[in-house]
Amino acid sequence: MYCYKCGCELGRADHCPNCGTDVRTYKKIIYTSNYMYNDGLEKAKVRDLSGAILSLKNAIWFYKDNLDARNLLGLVYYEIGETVAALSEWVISENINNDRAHRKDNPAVRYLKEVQQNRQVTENINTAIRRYNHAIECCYSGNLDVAVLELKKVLNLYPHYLRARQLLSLLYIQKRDYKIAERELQKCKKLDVNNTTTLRYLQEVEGVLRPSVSEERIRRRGTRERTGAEQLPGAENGVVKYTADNETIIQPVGSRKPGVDGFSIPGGIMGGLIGLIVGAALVAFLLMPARVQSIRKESADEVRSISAQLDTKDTTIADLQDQVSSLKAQQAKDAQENSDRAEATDDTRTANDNGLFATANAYINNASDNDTLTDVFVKVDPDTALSGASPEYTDLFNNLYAKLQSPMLERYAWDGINLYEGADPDYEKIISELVIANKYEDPNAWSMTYVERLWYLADSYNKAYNGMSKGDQEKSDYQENAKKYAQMVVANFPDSEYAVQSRQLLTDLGVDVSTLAAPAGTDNGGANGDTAAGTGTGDNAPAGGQQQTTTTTTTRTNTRQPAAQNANAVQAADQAAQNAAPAAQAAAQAAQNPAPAAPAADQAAQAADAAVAAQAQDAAQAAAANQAQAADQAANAAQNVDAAVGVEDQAAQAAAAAAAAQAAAQ
Amino acid sequence: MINFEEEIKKFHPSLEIEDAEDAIYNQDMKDMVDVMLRMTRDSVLGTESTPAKK
Repeated sequence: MYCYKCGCELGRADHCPNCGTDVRTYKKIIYTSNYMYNDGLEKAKVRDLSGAILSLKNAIWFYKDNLDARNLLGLVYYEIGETVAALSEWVISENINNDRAHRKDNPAVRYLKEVQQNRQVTENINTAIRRYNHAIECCYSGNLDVAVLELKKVLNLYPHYLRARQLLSLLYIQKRDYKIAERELQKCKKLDVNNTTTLRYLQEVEGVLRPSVSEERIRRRGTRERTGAEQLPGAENGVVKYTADNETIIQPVGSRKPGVDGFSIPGGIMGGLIGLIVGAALVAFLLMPARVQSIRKESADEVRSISAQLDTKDTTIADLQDQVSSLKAQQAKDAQENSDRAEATDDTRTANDNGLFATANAYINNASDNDTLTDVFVKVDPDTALSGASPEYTDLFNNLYAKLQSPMLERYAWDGINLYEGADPDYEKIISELVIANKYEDPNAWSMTYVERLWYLADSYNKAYNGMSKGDQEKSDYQENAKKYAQMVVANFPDSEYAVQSRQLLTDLGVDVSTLAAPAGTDNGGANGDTAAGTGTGDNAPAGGQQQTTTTTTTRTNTRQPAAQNANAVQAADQAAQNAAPAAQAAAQAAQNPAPAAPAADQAAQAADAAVAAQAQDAAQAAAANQAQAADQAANAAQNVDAAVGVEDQAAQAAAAAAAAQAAAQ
Repeated sequence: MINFEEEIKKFHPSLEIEDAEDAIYNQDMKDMVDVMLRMTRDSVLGTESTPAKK
């Protein structure tokens, strides 16, 4: 509070401390203004805007510079739609504050800024005011319907416009639309609870709508202004007639109106409960089944799809399990085969080892007992004996093989031939014997009985096959073996008598003999060793019936080393054999000479044979060495050739001496 | 019973925003303080009918 004269701030004293002016009355005016402001504020808080306006106006009337009162008044005006009045109060408040020596923060500035900044609101307010003025003009001129429409538009733009709503209510009352009028008046009451116009109109409307309530109100207030039988508006002959919306309602006086008027709380609750129950029943019996049905269908579809997927997966799992089991079986079978093969290999290896060692043992005991040696050596398979063998083992085998190859061949070849040519031949036994014999056959220099044995084998296989049962024939390869051996005869010995028989056999077995291939070499166990016809008759049978043990031996290598590594030595041995043959023939011819020369010739021949045999053994032993000794073997073979040539010279000399002796005898 | 005609007369046209300026200027700003001040001045200075206090 400041002195109205000097502007000095006043204290509790009744005089200005500055100018000494008596400010007691001034202070009282200020206090009264403040009191009024407080009253107005209280009323504004409870929405008694009309009462607040009165109080605030009083506050301003006491002290116009009461900025708080003025600002609040502006707010109240703005709330009830009196925008121009509100703006006036705020403008004045701002000007008063600007003129003061002690300015303070004035909220009116902010209010003005908010209203002026929002152009749309300003525009709406302007439009509302214009329409409201037009509605009033229409009311004056009697166009109530137009006025109602205008006022509705005003309230759409500016719902807080209290006077417009009150005018609209008045028009509804005039038109006897009491229900609508009441509704509008209730809205007015919400805006301004103690507005006398609103209350008065409401009383009018309630008097029509609820005359009993109205009567009671009048009785309670003690109003005696109504004359007559206190007739209520619209009540004639005990019947009230009014319009609500588009309906005309006629009801006896005092009756409780259904709906809002006759609405009691327990009844409402009951009605609500019944409504809930009916609604729940509707949902349960109409909506839920369809929903449940759709949910069931969806779940059934999902179950179906999942089942299909499950079936697919089951099938896949079964297939995979089958694959796993078949793979496991195959794995087990392969393991078993490998094990069997290993066992067979081991067995074979063991059999070969045992046979070889037994042979070595028998040789040590009696080197000349060929029968025992061949009985034992037959257990050694020449095709597999050297597989993975050590050098010492290989040497032992080769040495024994060199020694026993000829006896083996002779024994088993003749055993097989004799069995074949005997009465009631056992073809299985024949096959067994001849196969063993063929293992010791020299592939580069077949023996005399080779073609015969081949044919016997082919025929034995064929006859053994024919003697089998149907089931055994299907499993047997005897027919194939028969064809093979017959082809070998035809290919390698085309001019022999056995070739004719072989061709016939092949024709019988369905083989086109015109397309036969070149000879493929010997059968299994092609021997590289010596071939010995033993005591068999060779092509060069001695004349004169003189039995001569002609051993057509060759200076071949007796080893079982790979042919490529021993080829040179073999070829040298062959050459030596070929060179030695004429010497043997010469010795044989010399043997045909007269008796005196015979012993010499015989001796020469025997010497030649012995020399050749010895040299052949040497060559074979030399060739029995390892691969690094191949050159030595070739050298040895060359030496053998030289020796053979020397022998030949000796035989020629012996023959010349025999001829000289003959000439001398003549 | 509400008399429509009487009630309508109580409703006056509202001022538009453009007319607020005139309304402000024409507003009577006299308050009790002004009255008091006038009374005080009159008592001191005196008026034609009331002589000043001595």
